[in-house]
Parts: sequence; C-alpha cells; structure tokens
Amino acid sequence: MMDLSKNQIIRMFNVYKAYGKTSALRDISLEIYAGEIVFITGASGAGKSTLLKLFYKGELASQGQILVDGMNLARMGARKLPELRRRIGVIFQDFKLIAGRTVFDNVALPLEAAGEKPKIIEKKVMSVLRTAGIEDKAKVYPPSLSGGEQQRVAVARAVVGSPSLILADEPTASLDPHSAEQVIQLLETFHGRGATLVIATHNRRMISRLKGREIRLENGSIQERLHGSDREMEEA
Amino acid sequence: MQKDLWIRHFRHALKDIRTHRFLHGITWITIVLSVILSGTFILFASNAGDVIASWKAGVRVMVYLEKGLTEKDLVRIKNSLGEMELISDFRFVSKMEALEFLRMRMQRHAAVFHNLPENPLPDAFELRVKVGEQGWDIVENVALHVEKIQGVDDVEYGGQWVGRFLQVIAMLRMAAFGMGSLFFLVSVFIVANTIRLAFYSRKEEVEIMRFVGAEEGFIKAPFYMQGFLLGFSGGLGGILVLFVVYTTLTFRMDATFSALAFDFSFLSLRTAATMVGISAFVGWVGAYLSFRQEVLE
Repeated sequence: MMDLSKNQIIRMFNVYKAYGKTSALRDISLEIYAGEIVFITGASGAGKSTLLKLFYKGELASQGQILVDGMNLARMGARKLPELRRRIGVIFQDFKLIAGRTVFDNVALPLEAAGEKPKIIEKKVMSVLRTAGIEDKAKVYPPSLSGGEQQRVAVARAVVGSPSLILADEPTASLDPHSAEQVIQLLETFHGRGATLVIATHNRRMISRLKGREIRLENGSIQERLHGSDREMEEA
Repeated sequence: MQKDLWIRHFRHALKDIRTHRFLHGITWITIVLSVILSGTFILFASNAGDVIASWKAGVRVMVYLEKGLTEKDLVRIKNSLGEMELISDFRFVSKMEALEFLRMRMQRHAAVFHNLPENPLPDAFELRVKVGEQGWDIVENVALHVEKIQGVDDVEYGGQWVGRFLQVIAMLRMAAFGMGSLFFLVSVFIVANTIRLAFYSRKEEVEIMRFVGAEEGFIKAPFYMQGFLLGFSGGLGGILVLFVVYTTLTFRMDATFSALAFDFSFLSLRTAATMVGISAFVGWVGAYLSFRQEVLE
C-alpha cells in the first residue's frame, strides 16, 4: 500500500487533453509521491508522452488541474516556467542533445541556465559524467557517440541540477539491450539519490527491474493502476 | 557571477557570428556603408556650420578707396565708418600692406611682382560686420551705405554666393538627416533579419534550453549581443574608413584649403562617439525587432 505520509510531487485532478476534436487524455486523476518510481505504460498512441508533457508544461491541459512540486500549472505564469523546468529533469527518446556542443557543454546547460559559477559547474558536471561512465567523453561532440552513450549524456543532463523529479519518455526505446541496461542502471542510481522517477515505457524488463508503480493507459484513460506486488502476481 | 555570464554570452555571440560569417559580414558592410555615407554628410554639414558660425561672428567686407585721396579724406571716411553701429571693427589697409600680403601669399610666383612699374593695388578699409540674428541682408545694407561715402571706389563682400552657399548647406543638412534616417531604417531591417536567421538556425538548441529551464533573457542575450557587436563594430569601422579617406584627401588638398582660409576639420570625438553609439543602438534595436516578430508570429 502507498505510504500517504509522503509528499505528493504530482497531483492531477480530472485532466483532459484534446488536439482539436481528437481527445488525447480523458479524465485523468492521479497522485505521484516524492521518491517513487512510476511507469506510464500503454500501447502507442495511448497518451503516455502527452501525459509526461503535461507535467513539464510542454503541453497545456484542456481541462482540469495539475500540481507539480506545489506549483499549480494552470495558474502559473510564463515567467515561472523556467523555475518549474529547473525542478524537473527530462529525458527524451531522441536524446535532444545539441550537436554543436561538447558532452560537457550539453550536460552543463541546466547549471548555466540556473546561473551557477563555472567552478561549481565543472565539479558537478564531471561528477555526474563519472557516475554515468562517460567521463572520458567530456570533450567529444554527441554525433560521434553511440546511441547508448548519447542517452547516458541525456540522463546526466537531466540529473545534473539535482531535480526532485525526473521524467523519461521511452528512454530505452531506441537502444540495444546492453545500452538499455546501462541506462536502467543509471536511472536506478539517481533514484537511489532521492529523485522521483516517472517513466513512459514499453520496456517490461525495466518495469520488473525497478519495481515501481505502473499506470496503464488505454485510449487516453487510466485503465489500471498496478503496484509492484500486484504486477508480480499478474506476471506470475 | 554576472561577469562569467556576460563572458559566456559574448563567447556564444562570437561563435554565432563565426558560424554565419557571410550573413553577418554582409550586415556589417551595410552598417559600415551607412555610417560612411551619413558621416560624410555630417562632416560637410558640420564644417559648413563652422564656416557660417565664423561668418556670423563677423563678415569681412573690403572697402576699396579711390586713388589720390588726402589724409583729410581718409579721416572723414574713417569717421563715417565709425558712426555705423553695424560695423563691429574696421582697420585701414594701405596699398603697401596689401601688396606685401599678396607677395607672401604668392611666393611661388614672386617674379610677377619684380617687374611692376608701380603698386597697382588701392588703399582699403577692412570691415567686420556682425550678422548675429539679424540675417545676411544686414551685410548688403552696410555695403550699400558704405558705397555712398565719398571717396569709396568699390565694396566687396561675399554677396550672392553667401546666400547660395547657405541654401546648399540647408540642403546638405536635410540630406544628412534624410540619408541618416533611411540608412538607420535599412540597417535595423537588415540586422533584424540576420538575427532572426541566426535564431532560427539555433531553434532546436533554443527549445532544448527552454526544456532545461533557461530564462528567455539567458537564451536571447547572445543574440542581443550579436546585434550590439555588429552595430558597434560597424560604426567603428565606418568612422575609421571615413577618417582614413578624410586624412588622405585633406593631405592632398591641404594647399587648396589653406588658400581658401578654410580650417577643415574631421568629426569631433563626441560626434564620432555618438555615431558609434547610435550604430550599436541600431544593432540592438534590430535584435529586439527580430524577437518582436517572433512573438507576433
């Protein structure tokens, strides 16, 4: 059972999202607690990515209320958006790295945006690159890295600012099993340091390995909410 | 921390300028040309303004006297001139003094003076008429009055060409203003387009920066700096080119200017600095407009 004494980092109340006449999400209400691992699963087009985008205000909800780390996204002005984004680390399936900047500069970006001093930036970036096992790639440009390495750079960038919430949209979808395993390990490491993980994925291996809560979407609605123990029974 | 941030923006601005060097080069040349053209007009207008100011302080009128006047006649003419309020100053120039002055000015043609049977120059009075706010007609009035004095042969002053010169100066000033405004607009438009293209070429990067929580000011600062740098360096370049051209031309035409008693001078440091400042501002406005258009789109 969920420990309700913990803080809720995300709360959604009757959220709808539509693109024109096409409904992407319907009546979504959920709570995600600090320190949790939550998987958003479902078939392609079920609304997983849209749901994640709503959390970092990459999209606006058509209806309903969303609270992230105490910030009401519907009432939040544009000026507060950078503050919200700095509290969240986002990992994309296509990495979204800047090709013309070195691995170091890509990872340093959130810290530069937060106005950190160069010495602190260097210390934090090198530390996170070490954890991600790509310390030796600091001066390399992303296009010359493998997919797995690029995703590790993306994870490093997402966590370098020590965000309270990490959102990952299909982080292993475009990786080979070995690279996917390395990324899973990395996510596990950063979860161990206190971050909340919300992962949209199809990767059953990752779900069973990280033992988080699963929210299954179907046609934009929550179909099932499974806890680790429920899922183990279902899988058995 | 602020210093580090400015260094970072400066580095990124330079990197962008290097990446789009052709586009930025064209923009820079446009700004340089704008400054050269506007500067040329300002240079002419300011020098003409100086000449006019010196005239207003006292226009020189030469009063040539008839031959064979007695000492008594000279005193009478001197008294008549002294009674005229509009004449601020006057002095007698004897024909000997006039010839000596001419010899000094025409040293290269000294042979001309050797074979003169007698001094052909007349005695004269040199007057200074203060124009002030009363306008140039005052000089003509004084000339007409002086001409009527018995013993005066001829009166010479700038006359009609002063009026024409003033018209040309007024037109130059209008042209300077018009051309300056036109080039200001053209430069703003070109800088705005250059910055917009640079911004669009980094659209993906900008989106990523927004995802990681960068403020709009942080994202756009390097672009504003690009505009500022383009304007500032373009202004500086324009003034430098103008100075080199001016120095070369005045060096060659020095003799002509001195013969005309013109003290031709380059733009004052203040005017040059103002032009560079305006040019830098033009660059900044261009960047601002490119982002305004982005918002409107």
